[in-house]
Amino acid sequence: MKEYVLFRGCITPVRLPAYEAATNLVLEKLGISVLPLQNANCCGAQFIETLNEAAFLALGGRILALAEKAGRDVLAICGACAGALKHTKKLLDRRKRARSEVNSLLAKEEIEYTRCADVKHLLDVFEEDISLETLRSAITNPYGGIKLAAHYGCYVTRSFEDLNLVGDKKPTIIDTIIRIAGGRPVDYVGKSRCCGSPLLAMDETVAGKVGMEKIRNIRDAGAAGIVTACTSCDIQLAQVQFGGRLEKSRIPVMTLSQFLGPALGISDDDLGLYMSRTSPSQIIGSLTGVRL
Amino acid sequence: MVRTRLTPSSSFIQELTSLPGGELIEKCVACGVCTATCAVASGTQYNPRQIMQKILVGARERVLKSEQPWLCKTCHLCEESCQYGVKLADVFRIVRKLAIREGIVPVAFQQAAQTILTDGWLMKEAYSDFVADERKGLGLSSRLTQNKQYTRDVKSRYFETGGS
Repeated sequence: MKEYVLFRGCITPVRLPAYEAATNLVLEKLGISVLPLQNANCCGAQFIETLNEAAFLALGGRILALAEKAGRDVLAICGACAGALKHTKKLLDRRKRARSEVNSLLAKEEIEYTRCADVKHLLDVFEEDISLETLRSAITNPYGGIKLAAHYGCYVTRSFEDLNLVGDKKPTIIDTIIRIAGGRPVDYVGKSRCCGSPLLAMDETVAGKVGMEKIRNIRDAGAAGIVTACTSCDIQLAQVQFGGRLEKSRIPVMTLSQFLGPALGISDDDLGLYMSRTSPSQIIGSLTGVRL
Repeated sequence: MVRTRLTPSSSFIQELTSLPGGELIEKCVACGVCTATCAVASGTQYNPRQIMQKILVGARERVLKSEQPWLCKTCHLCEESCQYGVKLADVFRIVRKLAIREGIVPVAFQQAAQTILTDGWLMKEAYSDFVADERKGLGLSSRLTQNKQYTRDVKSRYFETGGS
């Protein structure tokens, strides 16, 4: 059985705990063991990363060292965290001096990073650890052909050249999972474009424009919902739809784990669907088979 | 092999090309494909080509003082379309680095960094009893142990003793 420590990061456990809960349940159902990484710290994505590289490596280095101590690889479900930790790993694995410097800071806690721990985003786990056959046979309540749009997230799929997932080719794993779960993945204009969330700190108005353009493109493609794989993307794509518009015109946004969970027979409440900012009832209503 | 130079030269370009990752600025011909593909540029003031042009003509002060390099969120989409192999996100990263050296850092970045290094994470203020109850309702631990001692060590090592 593949085992991970979940690096929860800053935003997920506070703003989107249902994604965390759903991920634990879905991966457990698919034979992956996940434990929370306790006593962690921020990975430094965006802010520390921009301001001071040595400090950035020190923050991420500690997370990798804690995972090594636990004897597990790191799982991150936020795109920014996954991208930052993969980048940290790449730089530390390559630079001996930087690694020694981080380890000198870690000596106080008697932990060390020796390049053993790996970093995976949720999508990497689906690509590498769970066969499509395993997933297919675990589906108990397939969706009845509802049209859905995948949003991958920049830091999940494209942020750095060292991503495990893609390289030059376009990511397809969310579309594949939508199809296996009984939905119909649809393409749309600007599919690989950003949701705008990394801009929130600098300029909320610009961030909102970027997000709404994405929503319009998805609506034009006739999708009934959006499936995400990053905490920040998910929150942003839901949030931008609250500009005084009517509830019925909002497109529901669901994390991959919360989308997949019901098709695996996991209850809506356990997946925290009642906490969704945009009601997923139309998507859930398309499930087939007997539901408890 | 003689490399054909397509771009103008300036002391600012020389400064950038001396830094790792910055050398690719020399490949830019300011064609604007970056702006055409940029999700931020669409319908806003942000314009990656314009920043590249300002860099190419050596408008150092204007570039470093501009908010624009901070609006690149390193999504790397433009790099997929660039026909000249320019890594724009790297170029803007270096521009931001030069700006930081001269003490030009947007307030939002200063505040976020301060919070992270002091609290150990970004969301201490936002983690209310209400959210803790939500977590319990989902069967998750409500004790979000975050280590602030370490981030404070990092802060004093890299942000308060002149390290950069």
